[in-house]
Amino acid sequence: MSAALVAFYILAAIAIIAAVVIVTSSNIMHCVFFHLLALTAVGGLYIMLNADFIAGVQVLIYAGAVTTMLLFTLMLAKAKGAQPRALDNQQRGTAFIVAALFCFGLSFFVTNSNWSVKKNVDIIISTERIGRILFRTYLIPFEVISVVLLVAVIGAVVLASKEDEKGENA
Amino acid sequence: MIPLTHFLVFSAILFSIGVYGLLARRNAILLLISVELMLNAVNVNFMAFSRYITPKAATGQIYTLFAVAIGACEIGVGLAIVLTIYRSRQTLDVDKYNLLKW
Repeated sequence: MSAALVAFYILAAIAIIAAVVIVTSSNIMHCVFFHLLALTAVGGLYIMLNADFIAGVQVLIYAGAVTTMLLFTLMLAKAKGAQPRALDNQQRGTAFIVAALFCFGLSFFVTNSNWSVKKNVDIIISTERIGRILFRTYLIPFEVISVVLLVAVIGAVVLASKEDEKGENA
Repeated sequence: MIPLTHFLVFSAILFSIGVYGLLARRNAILLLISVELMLNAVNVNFMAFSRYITPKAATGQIYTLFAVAIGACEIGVGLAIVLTIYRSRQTLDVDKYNLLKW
């Protein structure tokens, strides 16, 4: 077994165990921190796929920004009255069956499909090359994404800003 | 070299865990985290296909960048909505969010 394969198994095991903790833990703070662990492990897998720039983006945006935002929301929402009710609902058994069937079905089709894998896959895509592709081939989608981000920022501010009794934005 | 199917099966497992979380959890923030897990599983697929099937064009890497941006938008707007509902209902429990039911 090569070193790359061992590293892949370790990272995949970390990500999957962290994901299982996320969906089974009864402490929501643990869920958020294991979310951070799972996303960082996925970032490690991106490095194994020769994509160091995307790995950096993954750690920066998901592990950094999204986890911080989740923690802040949690602290804001928990400040008044933390509810002692369980985090799970009554359909755990059904959910497990659905997820297991989905996993086995997907794995079956994925392993039995004939993927046209290229011979030479060890091409390093540099950040410079990603920039060139992004600003030449995918310029229009890139601009659209920036507009979508702007809309999301404005929408989040409008939704989260507090309304007073008269219904006006404070 | 790691076979392509290893990444695809890993992604399938991660996605299924996300599906389980989405179905079995009742806390609104945990639902958002489960959706994030599923988005990440899809991104792993994109990245694996980018390396093994289109290694020169890096299409999957660009798509992953776009998916990350959309995911960030989703979590931002989602958390704003959760906070707004929390203000009016004083709970994060999605079973209690039944304004449209009756």
